[in-house]
Amino acid sequence: MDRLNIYEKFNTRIYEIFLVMIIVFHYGGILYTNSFLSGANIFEFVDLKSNTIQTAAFKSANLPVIYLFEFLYKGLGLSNEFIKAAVTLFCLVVISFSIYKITLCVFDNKLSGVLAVILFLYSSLPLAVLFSNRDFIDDANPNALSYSLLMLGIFYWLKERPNLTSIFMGLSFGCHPILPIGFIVTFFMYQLISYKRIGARSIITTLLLFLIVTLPVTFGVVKSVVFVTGGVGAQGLDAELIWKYVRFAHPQSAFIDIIPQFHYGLALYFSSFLLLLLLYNYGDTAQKEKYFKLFLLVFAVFVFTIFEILNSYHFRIISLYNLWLHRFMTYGGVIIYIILAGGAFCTIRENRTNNFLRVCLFLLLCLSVFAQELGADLYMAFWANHFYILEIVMIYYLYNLYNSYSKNELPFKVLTINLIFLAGALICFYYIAVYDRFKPQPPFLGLFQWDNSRLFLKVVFYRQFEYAWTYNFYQGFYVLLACSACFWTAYLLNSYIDVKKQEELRYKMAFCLAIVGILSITLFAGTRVVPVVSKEDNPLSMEKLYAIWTMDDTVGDEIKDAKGRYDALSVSTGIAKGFLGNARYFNGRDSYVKTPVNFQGWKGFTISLWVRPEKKDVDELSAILDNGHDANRNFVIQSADINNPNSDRWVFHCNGVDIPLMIPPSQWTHLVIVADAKKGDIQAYTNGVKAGKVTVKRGFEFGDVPLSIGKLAMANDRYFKGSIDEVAILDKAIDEWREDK
Amino acid sequence: MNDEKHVVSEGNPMVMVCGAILIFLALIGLHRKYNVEDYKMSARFQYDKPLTEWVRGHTPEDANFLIPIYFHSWQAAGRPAFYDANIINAASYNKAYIMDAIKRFQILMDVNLKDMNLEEPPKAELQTTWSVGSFQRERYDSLAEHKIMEIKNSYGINYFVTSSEKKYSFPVVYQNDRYKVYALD
Repeated sequence: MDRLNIYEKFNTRIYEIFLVMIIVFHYGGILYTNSFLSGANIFEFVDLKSNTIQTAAFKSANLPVIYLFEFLYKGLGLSNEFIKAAVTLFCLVVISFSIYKITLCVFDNKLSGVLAVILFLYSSLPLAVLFSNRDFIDDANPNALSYSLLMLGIFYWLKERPNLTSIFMGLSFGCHPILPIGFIVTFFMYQLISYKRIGARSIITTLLLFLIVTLPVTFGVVKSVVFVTGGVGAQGLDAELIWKYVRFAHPQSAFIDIIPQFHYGLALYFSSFLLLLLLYNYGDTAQKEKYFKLFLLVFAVFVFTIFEILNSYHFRIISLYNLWLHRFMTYGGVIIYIILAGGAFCTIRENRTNNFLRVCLFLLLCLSVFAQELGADLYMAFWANHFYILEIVMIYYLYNLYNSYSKNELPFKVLTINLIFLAGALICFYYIAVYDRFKPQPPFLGLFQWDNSRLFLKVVFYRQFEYAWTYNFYQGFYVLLACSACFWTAYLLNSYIDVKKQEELRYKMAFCLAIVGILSITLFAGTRVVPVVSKEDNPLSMEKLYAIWTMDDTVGDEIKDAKGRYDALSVSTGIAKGFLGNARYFNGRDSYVKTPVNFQGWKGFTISLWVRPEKKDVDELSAILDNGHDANRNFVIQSADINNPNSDRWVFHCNGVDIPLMIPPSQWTHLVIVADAKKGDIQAYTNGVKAGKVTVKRGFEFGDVPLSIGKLAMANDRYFKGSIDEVAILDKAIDEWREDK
Repeated sequence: MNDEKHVVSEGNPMVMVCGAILIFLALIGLHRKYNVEDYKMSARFQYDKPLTEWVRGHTPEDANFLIPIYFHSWQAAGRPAFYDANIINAASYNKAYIMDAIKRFQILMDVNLKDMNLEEPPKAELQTTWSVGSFQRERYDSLAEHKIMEIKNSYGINYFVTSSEKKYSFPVVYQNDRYKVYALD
């Protein structure tokens, strides 16, 4: 083989080589962090004396995978670490290559395949659940093996190899009898509806193969079926009590439809359905079948999601299964990644608008990977990114539908079906978005009243743009514009060079543009990233923060921690225009915010906030923040002049020492207070200028009283009047950040 | 299908631009994968490995533990627990665990679920899939000594694990930044 041939072979396999490199390095990362040792150990699955509840349950389900572990651990004498590392490698390779091959098989585009794998490994687009499906790989337990074999099954299904599909789905089932169940049911349903085409023999063969492979677990399945269909009452179980237990211990499972992640998930479902329908319209017969199969897989996830909601609110059969359905949705997420990655590269009709829309979709998917690196406020970023994707896909879909209609390319029947599907999906999306079971429900049509419509439009189309122009969002919108600008520059320059037919120059140019584009994206985004805390300066990066209340919530008494951990409770506060977005308004009489954060055991802290005090009607002291201070312990920011409490003189009192602050009324002031137990330093800054620093020799002490905003923590006294915004807490001192800057 | 789509070096330079962006994305993801600190931020690493390793090495195999309701992945310790949040996973396989798990949960939280009105969604507890919520954490962290002894006497508990600052008179047998282990025997 001459050198040229090797070069050509290398060139045609470059995507696979790239994929192998990602897998190798990714596996290196797993070994480096030892994350493959997380979860249960192999000997716990094997050891019959094990009393740990989860492994005992795995054993009771009679799973073949346990026999495999037993053979590896006891039969071959391999160590726990070795088996776990090997299982991790197996799962990583099988899942990654299955995703790549499935994407290639359906969309016939290698870039899509690589993008789908990258999204699976690194994206942060959650499908109604927060935990990532990539964590399954690290676990190296039956879940991960089940997932790997399931992906192989799906791949062979798309390749029209039903027998292999049946075997791999059976093996997947033998590793975990619940997680792959939705996809297995979908596969056999598809076989049944294809009865005329594939014949009874093929269907019986696939069924038999499945049963043979799953024989050891069949008995367990029968038990499960009896358990479910026999009714919980017949088993001596109290379904209502079980539901209450799930509601109390895992409320996010009992009320899945009211957690924000559920609505992100809906946007992704809807985007995938529209993309598939669009591609289906223009595909040939073979492609249409593959699109249909992908549709069925996503639809299965969707149906199970709806079942989960209905189970929570109406059936209440066995609420505990809701928890597994959560994980099933995580599995479904990868199908959505595949569809989105395919849609970003799959050409429907070559024209500038379509290219632009596809590039927008591609860049949004990219943003889902590196939003964190841009210092994104994850909560906001993910919310907005999901709906950006939905919007782009809707525009893409409607544009092409209109184009086809105007050119009479689509038969009237197909066009009608498209419109009916679109209307149905929109109504479904709308209904789930605005339905609130905790309010008295109007009749079905009553849901379409103006208030609900406004809410729907706000959720889907407006909110993320609001984030962009109120500087609460991480500037993803501007990054998108920058990326688009790079694309168009590259596109136009390449068109120009293309005319000149200078091939070599053309490639060099493309590479240069790629580098310039990436640098531009990074630099432009980096310089335009508006800090979460302040428009001008942000000493506290989002990743490091312990908690941040942006005060942008406009509904209810709950004030969200943008980190998602320490939501606060508002008592009688109002909404006011904030320094960034909204702020909370304190009336000086009875309003305050109660947070769950206390500082007990902390070695130091940094708190940043924006405050806009107003003069109170009476002469009494006010407290901006307090964690139950007294003369020698804890801290407070409160008015300093007891004779003139409404003056602009305030004080940061911490562990017995005072730092005076000047906070003028009726204007926004940025405060940062810092306590550093290691150095004994207490300091404060107003608008970035040091207000004072005191070093104390004795140690600091913070009690267990939660931080109160707007009044004293332990007494209904010293109510603050004015607005407070963007309260951020770091669990350590940031030293001299202003001077460093 | 057009085979040109499969070949990177032929055709559209935009393919190369996208390829370059994909490399950029992969580098970002890999960088994160190697960042131990970041990686530990995930829920997967909320459990306390030093503690579970100590338990494995220094306690009898049949030792029974009272563990915090917020402790993640207790199974790494390989010892039975009075109530393990993971029990709910196991319970969906095996009915034998369900009712007993719920009974123990009620004892630990000192609540009677039957009498509670739980039809409304709770406030501030729906953000994450793992957080057990401030109420449950608060309940566990403020467990009274007599309550612990009641559970010990009824269920044969040998050790009590907590991250609470509350002072207990039991002897401390292990302590790290987050957790203390008290011996109850």
